[in-house]
Amino acid sequence: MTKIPDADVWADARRAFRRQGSLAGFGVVLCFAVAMRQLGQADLDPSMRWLWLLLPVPALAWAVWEATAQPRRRDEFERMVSARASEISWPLTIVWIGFVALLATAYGFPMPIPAPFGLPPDNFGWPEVLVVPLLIHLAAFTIVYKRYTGPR
Amino acid sequence: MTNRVQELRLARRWTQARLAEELDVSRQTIYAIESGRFDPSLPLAFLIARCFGLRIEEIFTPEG
Repeated sequence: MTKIPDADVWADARRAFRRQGSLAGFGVVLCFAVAMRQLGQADLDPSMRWLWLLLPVPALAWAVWEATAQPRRRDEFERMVSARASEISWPLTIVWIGFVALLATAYGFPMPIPAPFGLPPDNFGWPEVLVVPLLIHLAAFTIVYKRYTGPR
Repeated sequence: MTNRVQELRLARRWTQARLAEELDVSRQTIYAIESGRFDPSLPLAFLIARCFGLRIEEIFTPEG
C-alpha cells in the first residue's frame, strides 16, 4: 500500500477541522438527550425546567448555521458522497420511524427495556429514537466514502 | 472515463494535497479522480486542464 505523505495527512486534518457540521449535529443530540433525561425526572425543581428546556437552543442554532453553510464549503465530490449517503439513509430512516411507531403502538412510549446482568431497567425514549437516524446516516456516509476513497 | 491526472501530477512532483489546494477541492477528490472512481464535472475538468496547461481532451479520454 502506498504511504500517504505527511503533507497530505495535515491537509486532510485542516480540511476536516473546517467541516464542523457533524460535530454540531452530535452537539444537538447530546444536549437534547441530557435535557430530555432531566425533564423526564419526576422530582425536577420547577425553576430548573426552563434551564433544561433552553439547553439545546444554542446547539440547535449552531447546527442550523452549519447545515446552511456546509453545502457551500463542500466540493462536488463531497456533495456527491453526501447525496449517495442520503439515498441510503433516507429510506432506512423511514423504515426506522415505522418500526418505532409499531413498537410504540404495541408497548407504549417510552418503551421499557429489560436490562441484562441485573442492571436497573431503562426506557427506550426520544433520545434513543433521535440518535439512530444520525447513526444510520453516519454509517451510510462512511460506507459510500470508503467505496470511493478506499484502497484500489 | 480514463485520465492522466496522476501521471501529470507526479511529473510535477506534486502531492495530492498540493494539487487539491491548487484546485480548491479535497485530497479525497483528487484520489477519487486519479483512481477513476469519480468523473469530475466540466468546470472542474477545465480547472484541472488549466492547472496543467493542457486541453481537456489531452487529460481525459472516454473509455472504450
